[in-house]
Amino acid sequence: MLPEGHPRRFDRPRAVAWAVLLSYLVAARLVGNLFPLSTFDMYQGHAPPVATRVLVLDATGTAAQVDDYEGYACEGPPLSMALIEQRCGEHDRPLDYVLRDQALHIEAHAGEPTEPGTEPITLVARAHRLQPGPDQGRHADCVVARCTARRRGGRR
Amino acid sequence: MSLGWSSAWDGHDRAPLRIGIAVIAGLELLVECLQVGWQSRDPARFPPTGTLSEWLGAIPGAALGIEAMILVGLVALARDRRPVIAGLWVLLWGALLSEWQTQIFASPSRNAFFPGAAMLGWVLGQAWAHETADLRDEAAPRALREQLGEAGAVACIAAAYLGSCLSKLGAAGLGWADGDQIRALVLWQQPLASWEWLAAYREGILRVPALARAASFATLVIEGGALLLLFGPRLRLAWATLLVGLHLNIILLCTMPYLEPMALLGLLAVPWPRLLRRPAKVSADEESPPSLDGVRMPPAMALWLGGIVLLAWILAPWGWRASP
Repeated sequence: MLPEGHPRRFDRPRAVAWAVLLSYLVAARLVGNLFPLSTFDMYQGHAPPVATRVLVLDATGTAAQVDDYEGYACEGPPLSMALIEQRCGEHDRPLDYVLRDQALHIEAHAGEPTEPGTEPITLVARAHRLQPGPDQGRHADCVVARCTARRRGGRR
Repeated sequence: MSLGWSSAWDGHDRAPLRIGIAVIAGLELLVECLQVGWQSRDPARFPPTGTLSEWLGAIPGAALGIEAMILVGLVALARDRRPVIAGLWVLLWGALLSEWQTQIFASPSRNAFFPGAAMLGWVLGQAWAHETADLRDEAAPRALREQLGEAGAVACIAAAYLGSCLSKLGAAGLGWADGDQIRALVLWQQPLASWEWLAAYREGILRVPALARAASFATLVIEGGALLLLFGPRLRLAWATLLVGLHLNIILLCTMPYLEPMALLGLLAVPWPRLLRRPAKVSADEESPPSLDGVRMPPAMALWLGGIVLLAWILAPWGWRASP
């Protein structure tokens, strides 16, 4: 609604808004991501055929998140992308930064297998098939490391 | 419902907008400074991959020094002291911090880009007002500067979402809406949940293709429709609510909190003056002085905007790009 006597009062902010919007869009397309310009291209592509994440399996085979546990004591080298590629192949890679956060959690919450409440657990790379086909929706677990750890605060 | 520009802040003092943008940017950049400072002390996990990160990583307290510089600019911006220079100062230090973070984390933090974009828009709106007034050798009144600053900030937020939609369509076409990317995100980020209802919701997205397709399609529509933020306050509020809903859904499905754009949308789209029953104190002539009639872009402003595009083109080799 435009006030009487000022029929073009709101034209100036409209001109500013459209000129700034178009300039930002064009500049961001040119440079990609350079603060504060961005194409906000996170997860822009089509999904890969497989989505993988490292999970914990307890002795009964129940899955939990890595940060549901603490007091980790694992056999072999620390959790890393190289370890997953070595054990599970190059096709079932989890997201880099997610794996890095999980590795940091395990390192920051290291413990001894003799501590009370610890139980044997298995770190697995769980790969889900996304593409249509007989395996769609199914997952395959690849063992990355065998450890002992204890549940945090009784979380499930 | 107005299809031209209008704002719930018309006729009101926009100081809360100015201070709000500064506070949101300050908190986000403080978090990023602390994160970069901490990461740069762990080169085994966050190795410096460029001269900038090697150089800054070797200076004790460099991240906090950058934060101090940013705070100086933000305080000036919040107090409306030389807002264009203050805003550019913050953006410059923010760019340095972002580049450092990109070099050690392997990707930039898009969370910080939202307040950065809003600040860029605020600065461009202020500059437009200065240039408009300068054509008549007048000083731009604060009401005009901040009215245009608000328009610029809203425009950059709209551009962020529209850009995100265009990125998806450019990289994957309409095939992005087949639901696979959303399912992959849930599986990568948080396939399990402690609450049963949340686990059931995530499981539903994973198991029911139509649900995942609907969520993907809605993402494209809501992001692409962010252009509607540029119209009247009711449409802006309605679309901002959808965008906040999109972010809440992302939090539920993937635990990826984008709190900064949610806060900015709340600040810029909610009709706070009406909700708080603030009386209008700013006259129409202050917001749009009769002597400055006319809406054509001041020539200097064309140089400003063209300069940003040119700078982006020159700096393109250094811009970070996501793999398709």
